[in-house]
Amino acid sequence: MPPASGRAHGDAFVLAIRRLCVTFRGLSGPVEALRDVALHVRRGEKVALVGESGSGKSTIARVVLGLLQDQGAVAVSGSVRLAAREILGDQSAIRSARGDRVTMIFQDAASALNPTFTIGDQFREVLRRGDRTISNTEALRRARAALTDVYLHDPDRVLGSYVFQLSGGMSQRVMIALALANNPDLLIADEPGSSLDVTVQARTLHLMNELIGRRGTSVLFISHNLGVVREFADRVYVIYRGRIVEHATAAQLFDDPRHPYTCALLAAIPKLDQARIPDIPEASPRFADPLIEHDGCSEPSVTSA
Amino acid sequence: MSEPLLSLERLGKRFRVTGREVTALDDVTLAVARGECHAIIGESGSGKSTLGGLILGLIEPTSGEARFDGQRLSAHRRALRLRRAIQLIQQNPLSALNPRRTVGQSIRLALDVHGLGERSRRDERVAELLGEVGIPADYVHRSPRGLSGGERQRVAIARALACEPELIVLDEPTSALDVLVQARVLQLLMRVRRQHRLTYLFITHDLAVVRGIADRVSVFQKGQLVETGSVDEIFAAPRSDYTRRLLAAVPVVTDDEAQFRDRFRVAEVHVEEAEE
Amino acid sequence: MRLLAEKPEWRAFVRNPTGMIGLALVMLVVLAAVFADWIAPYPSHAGPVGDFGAMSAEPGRRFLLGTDTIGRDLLTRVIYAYRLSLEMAVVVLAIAAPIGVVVGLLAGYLGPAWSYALMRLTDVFLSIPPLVLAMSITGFLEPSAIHGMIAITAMWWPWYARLAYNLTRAEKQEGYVLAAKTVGAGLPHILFREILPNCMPAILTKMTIDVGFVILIASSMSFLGLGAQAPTPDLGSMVADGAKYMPDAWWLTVFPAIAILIVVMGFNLLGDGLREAADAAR
Repeated sequence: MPPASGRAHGDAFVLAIRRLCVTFRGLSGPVEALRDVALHVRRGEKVALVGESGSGKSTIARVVLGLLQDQGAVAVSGSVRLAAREILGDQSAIRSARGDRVTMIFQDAASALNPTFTIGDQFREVLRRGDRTISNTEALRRARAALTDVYLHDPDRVLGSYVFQLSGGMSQRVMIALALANNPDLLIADEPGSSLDVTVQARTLHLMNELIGRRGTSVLFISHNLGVVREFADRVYVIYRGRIVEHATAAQLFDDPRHPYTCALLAAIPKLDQARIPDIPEASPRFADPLIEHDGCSEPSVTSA
Repeated sequence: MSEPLLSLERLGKRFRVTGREVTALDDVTLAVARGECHAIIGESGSGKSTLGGLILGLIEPTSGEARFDGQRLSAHRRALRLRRAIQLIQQNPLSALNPRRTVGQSIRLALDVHGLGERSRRDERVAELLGEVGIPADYVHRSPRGLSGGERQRVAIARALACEPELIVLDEPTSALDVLVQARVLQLLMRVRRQHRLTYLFITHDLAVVRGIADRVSVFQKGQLVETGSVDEIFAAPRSDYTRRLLAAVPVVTDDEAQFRDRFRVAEVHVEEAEE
Repeated sequence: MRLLAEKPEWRAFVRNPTGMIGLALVMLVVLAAVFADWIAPYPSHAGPVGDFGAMSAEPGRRFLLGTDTIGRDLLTRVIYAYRLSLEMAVVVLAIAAPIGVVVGLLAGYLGPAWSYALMRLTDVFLSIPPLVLAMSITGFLEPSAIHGMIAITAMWWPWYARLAYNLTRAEKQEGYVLAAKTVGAGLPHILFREILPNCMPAILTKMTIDVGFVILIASSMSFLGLGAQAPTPDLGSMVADGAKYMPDAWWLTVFPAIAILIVVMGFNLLGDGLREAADAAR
């Protein structure tokens, strides 16, 4: 499977998920959302989790953030370690990590930020969570610095604003600044910027890349957009129907995808340099058992059902 | 080029939002030939959705005029022929079908409103239309609630086709769909366009899709038509900086594509968002 | 309404204790009212004449809830009063809800001028205190169950106009309304075939809860002497009459009051259960 590189000792993993299974209670019986998922993020690494809607990619984020019980999950098993500490079934471990060691940014920044407090208030609260003794002046100084870092050149105006007074791109930047304010170990980014215009999204991603690179933050990047993943990630997991079907470095995955599902995904994306729409078999492709090893995409290994 | 099917003459639309005049569409002149797939590209606030609304007769222009097949388009007292000949495919297939009506009822409505075909044969026609978009005939009695996004979009396409339209306004028809589904729906759209000799006004922000499907392209920014031309022209040598910036921002998946795109890239400069 | 048991709403409803308790109470009241002639121990006591040998009898074996001052069995009269109350509630809502819903649909869908005119009219009705309106109507006419119903209907429809207005405003934003419009459908189709069905769950839930409230208002009116007149059994007037004999003949007031409580609570819980089920099934 993946190239096992360098430091293999436990501490090198910011996030290590093993044999994770999650089953939900549906209105018509149990639904298996995740099956035997293994995934890890090393320190300073940018890992992408790619899948279509309903593949289970967001469920993984919820498990890591301990938000699963709100969703009516009936059975969760396996192991989820954050910085070598098991968090599955340990709410206090999750609570102490969430918002401090692990933060999250969302698709829609405007709805992820609290509409009733100013951006300044939200910074103060976040910074307090990281350091209870922080003074108001110190919090203000750090908030200003954080906003300057995301190229908001008038931090004082932004700090006094409410989220509805900011443009989509600005709230996206504010959310990133807030998420990175306490220097978390792991940043979970769930489709960041996908509700924005392409030019704004491109700028947002570029900015995120720069900030993360500077701090060495690890990122779990959840997306359906392979193009965005290619720009951003070191390593990629492809998830399909609750299972990881392929796992490779970004370079490998885009040059030489192994699993037919990955191949189909890549083939289905319209290409900027091609004056035609990708030709995909009309029938819904059912992919063979994802756990079987596949050897590339040259043959039409997609079986129509 | 002969007489265009759709022609816009200095078309403009201003809204009054909390006392302030906002120009959604500014003096747009544009011609769409019969049978072409004309892509309208722009980001939010570009006026591309306003343009769609004007053509569909949902809003009235404040200046200029739009003509369809020589007939002036207006929101008031719209002729039944125009209501039939210009159809819409929406972005979000989840809300485009009424959850309390069956798939069959939704399509049949179009036939009933315009009195298309004999009454006794309309159910047959609905089944035919479903077949054409690749939906099993036994879906007629189903609620759209149980359908996937792609299936719903197909049903919406069947409903539009039921009207026997000449022009279809497609407002981001595949941007809410997963890539595999998107590719198939795009293929379907291309196929029915050929078979029914339809004219498309394809509103989108996805330039890779535009490259694959469109004949001509118009780029909009802040209510203004920035440039218009054939796909080949625009993708070979965009004249405006804005088009260039749009092209440079497209996420790509292959090296060839990246090479193609990076021709449009200039040095990244961080600018504070000017929009407010 | 094909195969109710397969509907997710139904499954969610059955699992919901609130709704099931409400349903049980409502069933109890409705069955008692429908089969009053068979269930009531002394059907003849629904009229003016009772058992003069047992005036003001305490609750006991022979008269489970006791008798009133002219010897009429209280249980019998409560059961027949339920019948009257339910009939009134059904008639009131069957008139008020459709009027209000049509007004609300039009106001919600049409342009700002229409919506302004219709909703201000609604506000006028809403701004009159309900009992004052009822009193003036029954004062103008003469107090009777029918006039009471007219009064209640007049004050009730605006609530449905409000509800339908808000629902329509929300539904109007949905893509399917736009789709119906671009396909070329006319106003009646869009209002009644596209939008209304999507508002029905909320409207029916409100109607369910309102059965209880209409009964409560009707009882308040008859408590004041503005509703059903003697000898028709009516919960409100029973409470009012009984109050004169408190605390000695306490049952004359307490049992009819509990009867009102049961029916109001029953419909309320049932309505809540329906709403929760509809939410859960989404």
